[in-house]
Amino acid sequence: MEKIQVLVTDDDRDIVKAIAKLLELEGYSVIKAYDGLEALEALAENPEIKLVIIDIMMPNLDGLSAIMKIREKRNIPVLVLSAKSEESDKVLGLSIGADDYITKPYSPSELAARVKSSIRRYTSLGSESAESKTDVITVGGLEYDINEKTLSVDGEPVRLTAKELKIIELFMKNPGRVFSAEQIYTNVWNEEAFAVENTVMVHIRHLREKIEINPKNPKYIKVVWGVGYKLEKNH
Amino acid sequence: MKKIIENIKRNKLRSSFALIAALSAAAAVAIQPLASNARYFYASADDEGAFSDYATEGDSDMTPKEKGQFRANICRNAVYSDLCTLGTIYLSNCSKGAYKGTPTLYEQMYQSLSNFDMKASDVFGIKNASSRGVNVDQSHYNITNIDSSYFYFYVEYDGEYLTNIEGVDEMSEKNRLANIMNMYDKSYYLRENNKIKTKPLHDESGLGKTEVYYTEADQDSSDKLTSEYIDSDKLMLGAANKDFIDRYTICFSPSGDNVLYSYPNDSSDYNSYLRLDDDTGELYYDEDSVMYEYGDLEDADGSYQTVTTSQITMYPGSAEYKKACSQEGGALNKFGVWTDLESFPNYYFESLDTSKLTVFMSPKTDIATTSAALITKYQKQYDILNVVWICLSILSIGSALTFAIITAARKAEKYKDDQITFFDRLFKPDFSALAIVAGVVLLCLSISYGFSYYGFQVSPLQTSLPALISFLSFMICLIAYDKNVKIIKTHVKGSGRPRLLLNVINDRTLPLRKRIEEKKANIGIVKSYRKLSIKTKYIIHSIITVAVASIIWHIAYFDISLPIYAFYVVLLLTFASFVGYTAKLIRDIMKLDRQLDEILDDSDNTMGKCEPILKESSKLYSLDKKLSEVSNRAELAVDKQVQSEKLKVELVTNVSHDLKTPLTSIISYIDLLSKTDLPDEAQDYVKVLSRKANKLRDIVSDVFSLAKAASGVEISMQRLDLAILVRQVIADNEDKVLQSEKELRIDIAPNHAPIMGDGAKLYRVIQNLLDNALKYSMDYTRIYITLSENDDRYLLSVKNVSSYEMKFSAGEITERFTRGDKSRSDGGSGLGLSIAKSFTEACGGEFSINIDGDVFAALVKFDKLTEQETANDQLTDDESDITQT
Repeated sequence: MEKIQVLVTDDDRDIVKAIAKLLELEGYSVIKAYDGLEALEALAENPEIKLVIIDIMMPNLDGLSAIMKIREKRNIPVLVLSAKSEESDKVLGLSIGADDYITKPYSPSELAARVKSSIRRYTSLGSESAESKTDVITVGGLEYDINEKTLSVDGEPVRLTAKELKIIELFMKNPGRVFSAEQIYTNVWNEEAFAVENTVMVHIRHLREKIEINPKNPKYIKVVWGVGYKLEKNH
Repeated sequence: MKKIIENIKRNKLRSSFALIAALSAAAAVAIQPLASNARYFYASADDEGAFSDYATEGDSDMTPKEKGQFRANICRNAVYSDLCTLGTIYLSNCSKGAYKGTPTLYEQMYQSLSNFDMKASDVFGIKNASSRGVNVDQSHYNITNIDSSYFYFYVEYDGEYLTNIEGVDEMSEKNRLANIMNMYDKSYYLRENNKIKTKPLHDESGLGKTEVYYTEADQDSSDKLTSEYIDSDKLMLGAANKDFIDRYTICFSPSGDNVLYSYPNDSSDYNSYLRLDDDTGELYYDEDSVMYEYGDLEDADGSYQTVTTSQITMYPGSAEYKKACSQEGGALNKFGVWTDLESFPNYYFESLDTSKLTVFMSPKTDIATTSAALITKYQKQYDILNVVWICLSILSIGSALTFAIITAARKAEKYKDDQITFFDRLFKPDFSALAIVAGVVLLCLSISYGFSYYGFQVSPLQTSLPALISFLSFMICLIAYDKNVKIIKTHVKGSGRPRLLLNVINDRTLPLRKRIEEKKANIGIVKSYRKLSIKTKYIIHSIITVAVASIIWHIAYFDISLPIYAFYVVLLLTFASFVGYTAKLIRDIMKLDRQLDEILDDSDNTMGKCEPILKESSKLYSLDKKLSEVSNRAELAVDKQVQSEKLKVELVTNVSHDLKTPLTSIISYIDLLSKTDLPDEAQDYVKVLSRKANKLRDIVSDVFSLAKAASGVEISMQRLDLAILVRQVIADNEDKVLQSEKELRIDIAPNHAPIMGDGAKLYRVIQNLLDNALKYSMDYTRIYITLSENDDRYLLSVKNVSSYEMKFSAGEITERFTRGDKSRSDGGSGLGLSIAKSFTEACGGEFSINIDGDVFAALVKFDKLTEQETANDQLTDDESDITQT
């Protein structure tokens, strides 16, 4: 089978080299670029590239501008890899078309997992199967089939317990909405809620372990501190 | 007219208040004369001054009845004294009912006769007799409504008599007196043959004790006249004498004053009195008036001089007097020289025969009771009227105020109409100033009016009405003024202030005042005055005011010819200038205060720039200038601060980026290295490298977030529930706790603890505290996490028992990079608590550390949301509904 091509762009050659090595170990073929312009050229030359990893602060053409240029032509997943770790930076990056935002210094295994997840989503469903069934709710890489009561992450089915299924169904039906632990409990358990934070949290933690790449830094189910929990809507 | 009626109908409530105010004010004014009338009667019975000659200490404690008796006694005594005098002087000169004496004496007697309605006006054709005669001086006793007509009297001298009892003429001379006494058996006073029988006035039996009093003169008929101290309830017998110049000296006066009347036989000016000294029982001579004090008789050596009748020698102006004056070398008392009678052989003193005198008196009514009843009546009347008056006043003030308030409130609604009503136009500040001035003037006038009458006794209306008027107008005008200003500010754009008389004058005179101001500013003395400190200026002004006022006071005090009102006006002007000065000062202070408010008004805790707003002539100009300088400098400082804060954040961002990039490489390559085939030893090294690299990553991340928190950027406040947050963090860390050898004891008292804060930041706070507790507490101990509340705050405390000795202060531990155990090197960047502190404070909370022995306690306090905010939030919570499963 032909290796999947990934474009890695960073002005720090050592980092590019390290990522390339990491991804090659994971079985990808890596094309390197050292600034935004080079990245665009590389993309133009290699239409087979399935994923772009790009830094933001780069000479000639910065990462954000590069992403916008890429988005004009291609629909491939773009991972931002930046030292800028502020919430605002992440929001900006994601809003102009990046699919994921990883801050430096990254954990190599997490990076590998995210790359894998993004590519699978892109190839198996994402852009290629634009039509989705009516009874299926999709939020990012999550797909929930209401009739069959099944959840798949990036196309891979996940085994969930009954309670976890009910929780994820509540979240999937109301993406972006914040639920307090009491609300989740009354909806899922159908019982009067009292000091249920722990119970709910335990289930959410288990859920995260099954659907998140890094449960410590969750992408989907997030805690809104002091208020409740929500399913991140925009991916 | 129709319009007015309609208006009244529409504003029923308001009109009724106005009506009540007007009516009650009118009623109060109407009853005022009644009240003061009653007060006059009441006070005249009450006023010691009126009875001063008789009053003894404790008179003020008398009941109305006692007062009535007291007055009845005075009246009775006066009438008795007069009757005795008439008997001895007039009747002794009568024969068979006709007066046979000299016209001069008759003239003297005229007034007394008039008092008893007995004058025979045709005798000698005397119509306007002089008042120098025998006279019961009623005004002196202040007896206004009880007089001789209250008595039946009968006075007889040697068969001649005067009486107001009808039918006496028909009686035979022999049993006349017996008949009269039969007629008035119940109570009477009788003098007969130098004896007095008194039937006590209030003896119900009508018998009473008969008491007889003698005078010394009566006993030995000598020319020496003495008296015993006489109870005011009894009558004194008294005696009458005639001296060598045919002058009568009569002593029938019964009570404490012991006035002896002397009657010159000619119309010379010796309208004098002999006075009886209470203590010694001796007579002395007094000139002109009974009002002279004993002190007037002071001798050259300061001792009191008294004389007996036998010592009376001469009168000022007489030959003897002149002779004596020359003898004694002028060191004489102005009233004469007191020498023995014997040294003046010409002098003789003839005792009149009072044994022929008979006086009968019987009260027509129970005058004591009448008088007492009268006083009680007036007192009651006064009390009631006073209460009514006060009630009316309060009602009037209250309704007027209510009227004013309702009116103002109604008018406030009309702001929309862009109109200034008649009411507003009427009560301009100018008018209010006039009203206040009028009120003050009225007050002053009424007080001085009160002065001239009864000393300080001024009726309540006199004082309070002007005060009421001025206060009311002040209130109304205040309300109207506020409205005037508001309306004009809101609707009359550009002008900015009301077109009031004062302002018009101000505007008109502005160029002139400016020119004057310019000229003034160039005068040397003005320049140097303005440079003085505020204190010095104030002192100078005060000294000038006091000096002017005291000069005026002195002029007025010593020079009576200066009209008193001129004095008032000047004094008022001086005072007003001082008040004006103070008012200006206060106005300027208020302006400065407003300016300060404006400066401090910015919500972002910075200061605004400001220019001086006071005029250069203001006393506080220098202060204002300094203030504006301060604000300008503060603004500069704030600018600098902001600049440096920005630089700091930028620096931190750059440094952090510069640190992160190589760190990324290090971590990446260590990871790659760990995946390559290495000898075991090398693998171990790589593990250490990996661990340290990860720790370095944590530290860099912590430093970065701390720097951000300290610079206060990136805080997004929202409403959140501290109770939920704490539970979330604990649930989130459940595995960590399970792995450790510690237990958590959680006590979250409030079910909900809504506060404002940044959830992500506060999560870090609690997370750090929990981490800290887990890391540094002793194994097998418990960590206490408590959320409690008091009236206005939520309190979160995390307590644990330290596993090592805490040799640091609470302050030190929150410093950056401080770790409790300095020797320790595992885990943590040493920034956990400082991040917790910074984040808490960035969210508006309060963070404190408490160390008590081995117990380490971290406290986080947050203000409660107000109920309003909480309610609002809950509303929005309930609005959206959940898609049910």
